[in-house]
Amino acid sequence: MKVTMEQAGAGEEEVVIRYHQLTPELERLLKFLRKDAPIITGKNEHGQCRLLLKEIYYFERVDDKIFACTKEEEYQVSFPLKEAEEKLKGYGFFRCNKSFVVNIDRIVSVKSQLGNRIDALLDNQEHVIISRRYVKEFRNLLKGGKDCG
Amino acid sequence: MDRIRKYIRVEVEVEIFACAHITAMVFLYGLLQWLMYRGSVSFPVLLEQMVLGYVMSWVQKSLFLKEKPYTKREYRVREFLWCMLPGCLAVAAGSLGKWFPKTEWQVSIGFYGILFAYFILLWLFLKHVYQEETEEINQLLKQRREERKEQ
Repeated sequence: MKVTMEQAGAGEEEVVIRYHQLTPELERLLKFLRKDAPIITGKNEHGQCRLLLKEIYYFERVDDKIFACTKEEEYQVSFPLKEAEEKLKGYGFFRCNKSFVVNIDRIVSVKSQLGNRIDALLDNQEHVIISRRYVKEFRNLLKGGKDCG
Repeated sequence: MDRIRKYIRVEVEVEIFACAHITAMVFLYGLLQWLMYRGSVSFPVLLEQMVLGYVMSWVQKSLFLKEKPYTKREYRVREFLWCMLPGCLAVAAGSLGKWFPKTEWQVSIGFYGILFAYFILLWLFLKHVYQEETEEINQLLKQRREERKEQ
């Protein structure tokens, strides 16, 4: 995508988007510009910070605390996993088992295993289990169905 | 409530496999008895085989009950146990329940041998099904990545 910026003289600042087709990527950009995009704030020992959705690999519940995990850091967030699941449904995140909401764009490959489970390899070489219960939703997301993000 | 739902899902899965194991065992045992010119199979033996099928299925499920990723080694050990443990349980139950008279040890070896083969074949079948699913989902992931790049 070509990005052009130009300094305006007076008046309100304006963003013009020229597009062939309204892709999910553009829709996300629009949501961000309209300030509908969810803001994730997390804290760790270095303090509090705002996290970009694309940096988050997954949300994990550990002893009733929810953590947002990026490539190298873990941040505690203040909302429950259920809220993360609902809030980020349209942004490529989905519930993969009872303790995880994972970013689908961070999944490199998957392997179906005995015991009715799917092992997903993330691009930071971590493994996450996708329960059979959530496989249908996972497939729908991959096929670009409803709330595909 | 979630725990109950999860338990019901696991129970359904266990019972589906239990049905397959029980059918295989009862059929094979009945067939061998018929070939040995014994008309009827005693009810206690059938009951033991039904209970055993259910236990086998739970044993197999319990190997993969946790929702945590296993290392390659852990997974291979579990796969091995998934194939072998039910056969071993059958040998133990058969000996305790005296399913075969001592004089017919060849028949019992055939029965247990075929049971071991059944579990290995079942494992191969599931492996094939899972391989197809793995390929399909990986293909969808690849397509998604390519679409993202184009955008």
